Amino acid sequence: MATPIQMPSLSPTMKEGKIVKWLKKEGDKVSSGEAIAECETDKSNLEIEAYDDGYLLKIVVPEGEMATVGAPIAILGAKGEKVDAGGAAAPAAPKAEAPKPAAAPAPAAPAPAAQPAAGGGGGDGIPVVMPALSPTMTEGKLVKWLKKEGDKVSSGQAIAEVETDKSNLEVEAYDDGVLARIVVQEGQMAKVGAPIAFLAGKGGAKAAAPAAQAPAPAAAPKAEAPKAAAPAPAQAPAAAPKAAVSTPGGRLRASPLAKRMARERGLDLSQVQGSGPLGRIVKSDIEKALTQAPAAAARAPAAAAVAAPGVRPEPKAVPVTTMRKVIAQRMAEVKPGVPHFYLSVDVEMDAALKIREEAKALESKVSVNDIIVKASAMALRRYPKMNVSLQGDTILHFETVDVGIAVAIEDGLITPIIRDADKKGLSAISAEARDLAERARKRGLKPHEYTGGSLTVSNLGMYGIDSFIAVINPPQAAILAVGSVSDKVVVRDGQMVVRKLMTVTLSGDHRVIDGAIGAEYLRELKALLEHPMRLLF
Amino acid sequence: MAELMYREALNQALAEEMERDANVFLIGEEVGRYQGAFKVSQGLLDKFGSARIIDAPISELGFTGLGVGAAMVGLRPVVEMMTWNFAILAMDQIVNNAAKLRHMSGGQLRCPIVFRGPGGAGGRLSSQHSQALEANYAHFPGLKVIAPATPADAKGLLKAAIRDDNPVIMIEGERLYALKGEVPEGEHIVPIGKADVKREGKDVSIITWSRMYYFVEEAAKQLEAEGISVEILDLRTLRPLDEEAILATVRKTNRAIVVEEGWPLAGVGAQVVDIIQSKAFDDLDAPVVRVTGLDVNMSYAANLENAIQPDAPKIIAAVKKVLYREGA
Amino acid sequence: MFGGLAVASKYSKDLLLTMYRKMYLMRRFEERAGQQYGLGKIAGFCHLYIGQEAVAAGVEEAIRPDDYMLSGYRDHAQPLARGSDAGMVMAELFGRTGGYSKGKGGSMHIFDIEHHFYGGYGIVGAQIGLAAGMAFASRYRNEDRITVCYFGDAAANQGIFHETLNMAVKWKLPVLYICENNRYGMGTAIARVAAVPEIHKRGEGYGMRHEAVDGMDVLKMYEAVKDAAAYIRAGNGPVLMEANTYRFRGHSMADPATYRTKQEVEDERKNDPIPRLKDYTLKQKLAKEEEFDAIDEEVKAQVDAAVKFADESPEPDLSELWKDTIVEEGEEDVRPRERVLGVKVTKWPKYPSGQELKVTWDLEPREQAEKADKAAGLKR
Repeated sequence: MATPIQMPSLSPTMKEGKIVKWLKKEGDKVSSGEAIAECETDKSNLEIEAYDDGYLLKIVVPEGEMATVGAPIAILGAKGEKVDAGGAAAPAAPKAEAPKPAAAPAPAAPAPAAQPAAGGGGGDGIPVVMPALSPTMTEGKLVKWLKKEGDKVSSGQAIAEVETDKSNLEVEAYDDGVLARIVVQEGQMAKVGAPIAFLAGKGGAKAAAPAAQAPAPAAAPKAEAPKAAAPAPAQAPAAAPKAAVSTPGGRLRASPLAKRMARERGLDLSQVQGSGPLGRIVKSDIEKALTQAPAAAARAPAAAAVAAPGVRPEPKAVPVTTMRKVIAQRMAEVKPGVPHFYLSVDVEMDAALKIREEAKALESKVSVNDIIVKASAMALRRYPKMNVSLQGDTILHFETVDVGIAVAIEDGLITPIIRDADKKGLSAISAEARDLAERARKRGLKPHEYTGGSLTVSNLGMYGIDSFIAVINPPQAAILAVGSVSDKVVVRDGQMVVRKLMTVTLSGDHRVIDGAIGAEYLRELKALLEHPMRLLF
Repeated sequence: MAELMYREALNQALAEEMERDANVFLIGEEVGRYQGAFKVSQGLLDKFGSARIIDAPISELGFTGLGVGAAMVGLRPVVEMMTWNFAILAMDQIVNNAAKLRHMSGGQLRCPIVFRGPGGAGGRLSSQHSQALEANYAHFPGLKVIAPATPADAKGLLKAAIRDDNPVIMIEGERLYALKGEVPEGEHIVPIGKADVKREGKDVSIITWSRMYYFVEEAAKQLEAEGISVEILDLRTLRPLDEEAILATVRKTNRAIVVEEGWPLAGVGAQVVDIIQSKAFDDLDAPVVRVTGLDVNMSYAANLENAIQPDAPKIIAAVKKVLYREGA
Repeated sequence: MFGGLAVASKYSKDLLLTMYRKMYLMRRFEERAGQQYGLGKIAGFCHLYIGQEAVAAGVEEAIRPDDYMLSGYRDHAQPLARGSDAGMVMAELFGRTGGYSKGKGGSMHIFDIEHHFYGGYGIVGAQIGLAAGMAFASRYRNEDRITVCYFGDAAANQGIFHETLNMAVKWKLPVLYICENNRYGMGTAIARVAAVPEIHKRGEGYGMRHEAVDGMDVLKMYEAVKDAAAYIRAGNGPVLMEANTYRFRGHSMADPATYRTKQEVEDERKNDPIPRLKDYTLKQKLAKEEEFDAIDEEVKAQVDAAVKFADESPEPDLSELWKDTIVEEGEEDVRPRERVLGVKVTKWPKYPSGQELKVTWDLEPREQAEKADKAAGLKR
């Protein structure tokens, strides 16, 4: 049976070789171990040997030509055996047990085709990366590890909790294995796509263990840590005059131990005087501060109130949370980046408010905002030119009407989306809005619950705000700023009457919406709210 | 408990283990008729005969290889290096064979052998005969390295080493041989891999081993008079390092000094500092300070020789430094 | 061709065919190893034994299976002669878990303790010292086992060769040192770097029995080793034997062998030990051509199966990284055939405990020492 003779790898670095000379010609008998050709490699001239007895049926690579390692250079077989042209050009059917023609000539690193490398390639193992959990997310803060090093994890299992710009989410493993090494410690940030941990194949945990103790950069102090800081000066008047400036140049020096102690006991290091070199705060300084300020942490607010005369409390430095950081960045981008225009209109809400009472009678809680959401959605349905979004060079025209509601939460805001708001009944919208707001406050929203839509309703009426101007939340095209409902004197039919008025201000993205479209939309919205019966159609 | 010299404690360990196990034999230069260059094997030739106490030719590489070969087939050789300086000639057999046999054979072979002899500075012996070489051996996977400071530890560790199924490097203190101390009689085993708190204290931890322990002890006594409480951790084993004990003492005192006789670059102390900074960073109240031999070759002149080695004043200065009491 | 041996065969058919089969196995195995190296399945250094088969085959049949043996890094063939599993040797070359050392050792470090093959060593000459120690152990335990230690001509210039020969003679260690003189230490002809290129003559300086043998003639090797082994086993001390042989291939796979002429290689190939033995056997009418053909076919199938086995064996698990460095307390030694093939290995070496063992031998008898001291006027 015809077998190809392949260009061998004759040195650890050889990739191809040149046939210098054939020592046998077609038809010659060759025996195993016999030299059949001379080959020039990157290093030297070497002989190529036959590894079987037989007859040289065909020479594939003539003298003077190159062949890559693994490519057939000749065909060996029984006397008189026929070699078809195809077989000669490419050894399509080598002997069953003949090694597969080394398709990738990589002699230095022979990847055994038979066995995929166990554990995904040496070194660090399989990386678990910071996932993009929201469309705007560029980095995330590792809040909590749900697994520790050495734990077994299986694909799909949650291994860590991450705080994104929007919410707290779980990171899942996409492989089975052992959590070999945690790279990003709790409290630290990581860019999307950066490894936060490495998995090792089963049993590989130990492999990575020594690296487990990779020096953890001092974790960013937890947000809540410095909350009890204020009292120190009050309780330690003796130190007060010198306190707060530990070091020249303003950098605060403290030993790692002192930092840890301060963190654990809620002590503000800036209020402690360091006794070490260059004013470094050390353990004994912390201990002194603690004994001089007994139970300081517990009495924090009171102590702050009775700050010692002549001592001005220093501002507290609170690290920026992920959400704050993203809001700050995006708002700074949106205002100059998106040309806003503003349209305001007063709406008589007397009829709309009656709906609330009707709802109460049905033991259904419907807020003014729910009604506005419903009305704004129906208005969008009627004015599809408003239901758009600019995304790069294209304008998306939505088929569905999804309306965002701005929810204020601790340290920021988020805009969950009510889908198909035009089709939903008021009580359905009401229930959904409540649920979304509640989960938003707990940071429990999933990304799909706050992405999409063309318009958001932002309502500050409950704070007594008459009117305001809101910033668009791109890629949406508009936002409605809703003020409070209050009794105002208006002239109707030449008469001064009292009506419940509400000012609505639309901010539009002038790149996709023009003033006239916005005006028509607002007119429709006003009509729907003033004649709420129309909401039924 | 009897008071014995360090060399007598070693002699006792050898005699007891040879009595206990006929597979144990001692080979080295001058171990037999001469009674040992440092008298560690005194009297053993008479007791065990020339097949078990073997006077070797001055062929360090050759008789070390012979020892490793014997260990491969079940004997338990103790190979005495007249000093570790000469064992540099035998590095190939120790490093390329003894340390790698189990690995190269895929677990088929074991190599229960002890290489032992004095290390560290002699006295006025210049550069070829005064070297603390433990870091060389601590570097290699497949070896264990021990370096006892006291007669009791010397006995207990040698007995443990002879019973160990791995190659063990035992670096004795050339200048400790005549030092006396209480030594438990008979079955006294000090486990390999366990450090020992030789002195309890609360202000600073000093981590050390072998002869340096005595300088540390001297420094600790002087510092005690100044009201500074020093904890001394004697590592005893340099491979594997007792990480737990190192971290425990640092977590207790929050300040650490590592004292070693050898050179600073890639010394064992460098690894100890790494363990501390990577695993006890949040327990540190000050940077860790090392006291090492100066980074020069040993000189013959008495004043130069003294200046090169760590001593109590240098250690005291280091303590003041980590306690931020410099100039105090 | 077999000179003085051609008269009437004193060798049994069984012996001749056994030696032929072993030599043919070594040849085919090494050829396939070379091929697999070319295909990238084997990497690193790979030193082939092609041409030297008469040495290993002759030695093996002349000693006992429980005699110890060690070698340098040209070490695939000698264990095969001892009976090692060809597939497991090949798997070791492939770096797979089915290898004798789980793929941790590779080409230069074949160990098969079950067959008393104590390893291939990568530092030139280092095994010479180990062999003395193993022989010492046999002496220490009053066993009549000998140790056979292979090394190359270049190793004779290492310090350990001289240091060890001195001790081996002085202490009458039961060790047979076989220098496989293939004339080149890598690319340097031994005559260019050796003051006395006849390596065996160096035994003279140590008062050691020494001799040169035609290493291309398996029967001469067999005769010489049989005689030397009996001498050593009787307690007469070590022997230094120089087997003059030739490797048909380069030093390693990457060696073009430009330091020797084509003519030289061709001339040596005429001495190929395998056809020589076959011709001899045929001439003696001890076996027929077809019997050789049958052996050839069986061996080819055996080697094909070995390559297949190696190729199908998985890479070692990453957890293996942390094994086999330090022996933990109570840890057993690994028996490769048991681990890989699941067969019960019963011949594993067992040593007497420290309580059972009685050391009665003396390196330097006390009376002798005392007498010498007395003669010199020394007091003890």
